[in-house]
Amino acid sequence: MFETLRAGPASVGEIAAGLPVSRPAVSQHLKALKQAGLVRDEARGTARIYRIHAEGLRELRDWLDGFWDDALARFKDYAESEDERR
Amino acid sequence: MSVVEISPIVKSIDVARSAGDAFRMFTAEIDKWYPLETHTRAKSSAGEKTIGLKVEPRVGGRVFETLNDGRELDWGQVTAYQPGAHFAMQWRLGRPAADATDVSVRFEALSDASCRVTLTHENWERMGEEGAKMRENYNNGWVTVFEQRFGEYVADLRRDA
Repeated sequence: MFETLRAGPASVGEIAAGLPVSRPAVSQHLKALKQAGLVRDEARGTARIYRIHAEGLRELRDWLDGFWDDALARFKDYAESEDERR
Repeated sequence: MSVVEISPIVKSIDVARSAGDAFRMFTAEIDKWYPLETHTRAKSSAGEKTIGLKVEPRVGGRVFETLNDGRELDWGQVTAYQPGAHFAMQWRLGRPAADATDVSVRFEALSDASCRVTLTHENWERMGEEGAKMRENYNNGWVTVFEQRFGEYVADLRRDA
């Protein structure tokens, strides 16, 4: 889905055409992505056009990036302190 | 328009343990270091709390957390399990398989007693709403800590003044 939207804004029909899933499933997923702030939509005539919301995506990436930094630091602390206890 | 590059998140850290030990601690002892209080599927707003996290030690095994009420929530399947070398799992977090994100961790010996751990998180953009929920949980957790601890601290200062 993101691969399609990376190429540019697209309608539900256009997105579904390139995927092995039903149109309702695509709609539902787009709704979830919209709630998560990862895509935005706008009305164009009778269709809804979806586009990647760069800011939302960057927030998620930054958050995950920081999360893995923290998680790996905790792992290192645990692994190395465990060593001393033995 | 600014464009976000949808590339894998790659993190590397050197650990003063052998690759074999680090692999075991990363997988079998994941509940000892993973931030269970903030980065899980438990909905803290609904009173749910994560009390356990387990990796079944084989390809196709489950990765799941256990809640305080005994329920088990799946995170995804183990997709690579080579002790001392490579561990990988889906990070689905309740999303359909087509939306799986992939976490891969490689252990590379630097000496007999140290190794480099490199974690790659691919397809992270597919986290969608679960990602947002986790972020929210995390933020709530931090806000709680901040408001309570800081509030108590300020109250103590006032009492002392």
